[in-house]
Amino acid sequence: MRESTALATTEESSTPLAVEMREITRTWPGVVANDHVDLKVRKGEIHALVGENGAGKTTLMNILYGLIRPDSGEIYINGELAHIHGPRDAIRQHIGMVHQHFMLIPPLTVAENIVLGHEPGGINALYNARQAREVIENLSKQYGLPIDPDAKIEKVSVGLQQRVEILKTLYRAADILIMDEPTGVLTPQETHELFRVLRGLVEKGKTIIFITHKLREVLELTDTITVLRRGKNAGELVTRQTSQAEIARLMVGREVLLRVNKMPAKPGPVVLHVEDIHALSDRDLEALHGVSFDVRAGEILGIAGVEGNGQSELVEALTGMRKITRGKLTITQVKDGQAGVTSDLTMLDAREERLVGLGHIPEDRRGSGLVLNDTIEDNLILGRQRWSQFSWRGIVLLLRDIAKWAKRLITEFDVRTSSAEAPARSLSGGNQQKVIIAREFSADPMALIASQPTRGVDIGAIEFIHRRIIEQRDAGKAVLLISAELDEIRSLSDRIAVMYEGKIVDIVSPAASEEKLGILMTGGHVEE
Amino acid sequence: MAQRGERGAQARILAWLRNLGDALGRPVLAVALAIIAGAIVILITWPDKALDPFSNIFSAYGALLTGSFGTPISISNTLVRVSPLIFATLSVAIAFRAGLFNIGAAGQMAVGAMAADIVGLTYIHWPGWLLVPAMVIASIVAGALWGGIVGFLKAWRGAHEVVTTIMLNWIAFWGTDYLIDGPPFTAPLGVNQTNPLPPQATIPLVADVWNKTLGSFLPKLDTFSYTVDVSILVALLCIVIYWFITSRTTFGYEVRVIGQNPKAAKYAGIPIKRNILFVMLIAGAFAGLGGALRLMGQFSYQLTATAASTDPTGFDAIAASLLGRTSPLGILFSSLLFGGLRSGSTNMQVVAHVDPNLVLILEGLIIYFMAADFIPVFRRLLPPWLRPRRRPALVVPPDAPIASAVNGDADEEVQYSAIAERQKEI
Repeated sequence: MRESTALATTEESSTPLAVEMREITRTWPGVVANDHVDLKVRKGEIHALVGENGAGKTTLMNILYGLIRPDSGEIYINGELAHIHGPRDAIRQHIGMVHQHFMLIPPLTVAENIVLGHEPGGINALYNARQAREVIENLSKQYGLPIDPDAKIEKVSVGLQQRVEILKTLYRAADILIMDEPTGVLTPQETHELFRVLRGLVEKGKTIIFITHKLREVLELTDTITVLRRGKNAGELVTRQTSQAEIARLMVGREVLLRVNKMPAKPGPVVLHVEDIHALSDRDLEALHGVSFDVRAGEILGIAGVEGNGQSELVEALTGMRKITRGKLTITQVKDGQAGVTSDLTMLDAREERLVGLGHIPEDRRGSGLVLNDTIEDNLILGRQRWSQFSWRGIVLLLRDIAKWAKRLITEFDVRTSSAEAPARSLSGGNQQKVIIAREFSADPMALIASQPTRGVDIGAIEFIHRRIIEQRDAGKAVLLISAELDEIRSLSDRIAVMYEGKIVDIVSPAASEEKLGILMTGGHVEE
Repeated sequence: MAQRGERGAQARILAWLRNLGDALGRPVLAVALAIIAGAIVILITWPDKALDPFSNIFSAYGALLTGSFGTPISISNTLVRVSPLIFATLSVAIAFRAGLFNIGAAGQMAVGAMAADIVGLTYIHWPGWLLVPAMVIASIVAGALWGGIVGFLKAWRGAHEVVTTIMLNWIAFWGTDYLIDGPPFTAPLGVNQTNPLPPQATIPLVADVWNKTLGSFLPKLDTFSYTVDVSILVALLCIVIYWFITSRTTFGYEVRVIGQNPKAAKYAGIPIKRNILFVMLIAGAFAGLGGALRLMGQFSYQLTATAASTDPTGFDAIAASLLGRTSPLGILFSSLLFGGLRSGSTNMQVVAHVDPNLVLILEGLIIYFMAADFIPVFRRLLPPWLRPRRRPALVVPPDAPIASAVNGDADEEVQYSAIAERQKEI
């Protein structure tokens, strides 16, 4: 492996570019997914495309593979301008893509899946199982990817399914392979095996673009790196000459340093008590291995960490959306600095947790925080529709009161809309977030869990949201802040808990250096 | 973000027009396209050789219209079909709201009718004021149970509602036949039907009610010609109930959230399983009531063999619900349309010699054009200046500093606008 790295870097200037993307821009309503992004990948290298979730990695690769059309920008393949209007064009340019979620048909066999759409003999011939099997056996011998062509996809492991996806691209004669977060679904052993395969492919002259946000993999596998942040180029690096800390810093970014004016915290009694919490991921693997911390009244506890280390699962476990398999979660009502009733939240669902005073700003605001087709009014009571101020005995909606409430919140939280009855879809990202914040803050919760509160939001709204969060703290609430933006964590938090692989590895002061946080976030140890 | 203030009133009118267009555009376009495509079918088949093909189109559609809404009697006949269709459509529509595809309205109607029939024929000596409500309640309970099975299986066992509703349909159809084929309810002559309901177990015709009230001093209606029964009034009442449930209750609100975004429902802590069960209970109740009222309102007041399995109402309801987009008024109008098509088809055959199955083609085409949604295609054909503009994507809105000036101090504003400037440069 290291030889090929040396090769790639020493011959850097002379090796031709396999892929060059120039000034790629793609916008969605309210979001710029790619903002004049450049990407240069040399022939025969493994190129890492890194960045946080939502940084625009997948969008960029979907553009290269023809699944999304860019608003502007040019793509050059092997130095020639390529017009890629769909995956068909991309395949013709010898580009193959292995998606994060496999595009396989479970009841069909490995061979059938691989040749699907390009069956040997062409579309006019009958399907020739023997010929297909031969082709695949040759292919798997040639690239050292052993597989049983007659196995049904639904019967083979995830690692082998991925191998089928790789073989599928090779069968279609791909020279440039895009791997979209390939290790997200793999066990460590399968990951190891995948790396071996990828190195073998590079030796056979293939070029690989490897999308990930796991820095250890980047250092272990790749030759060069492009870092994206918030849809823009944040840096181009040669793997040998960089470090985890440097990549982490580029990923979370430091060029926008938001200064937040805040008084020193006056922490009161513990409000949110989290003790040894365990929970499973969507794939039923343990994602949280015993997380413990306390959040006090009047303080902001920030959770820092590279995404995918259990933060999402933690938030869902705390807010009643994911089952806590082991551990304890309690909330204490604190008034005027005095601790009151403590309730156990461990077994409660999201609705019951709201009743005892938990506010939740979800990380995926369009996916779960809002009903986009419903009106702003309706969205402002989501989760609290049965509360007495919004409905008569929890049965009949009090539309007039809801309208009044909505009007008040829209003014108070400065939601820019033509009407309270406009669908939430019509709002910009920042205003959608303001709707959620208005809803969650105005219910006077005791504890607030804010997950990525400013993701994809414009500067003006970020500032507004930050100030509101600090207001809540100063009003004596306990605030738990989860953010991929290290700067946001550092400027808002009173203490920072660093999360790595489903555990809190350390709780540090916000004055801790970025280097120290970066090392903790990526699983390193800090000698004091 | 900056579109507030100067263009407020204008924007509101435009938004209102756009909402109206969004609400009506697709159904109206779908019906129009279906009529055009249906005309092509008439053109090709040219059923009435006495006319040239183009006149044939007009004579066919003209006959369809007069046959359904042309005369008071034809309107009455149409309403006879519309009334059960409204109940079935409400059943399909409320399930749609929760994102469920209720193919089972037909079966739910069948069990509703069956339950009412059993009660009506068992307690044959009860007076009408007791028997009719008992039958109605029995049909509601039976229908709700039939729908509830689907809801339960969906919510707790994950069984797909399309599969379970189709299977329950057949259980209901054959169950009805079982009732018809054997004692104690079968008619004595072995004619594959149940005994007719006793007179006190039926509901009156609208014409009867009219004659007894306003008809005492206004012209009386002929009860042989005007056969629509009072179930149409109950259907209208049910539309109001449907409106209330879906747009005025927390239950309707929660069902909407589940249908639109199940993840948001989970986030909000909405009890998804319970609501799915309830929504299917209500769906079944609507259909069950509809089935019973048709039995109780229309001559010959008896169940006949295979009538349930060949009755198209439960399936027309799916089309009507799609076309009406589950809104109360939409349900009313689309039920009138599909009921009208069905009842006008005979007249079309008699007058224009067009096969009555044309209305089935029209119905299929309407669903097709609804599902295909050709509006984006038409929008693309518009000249650029008429096309709706894409919302500009903003990273840094030009009014961001103003936002902070409203409720912030001056220093911060300067700082943030500086950052905004820098972001623009990058």
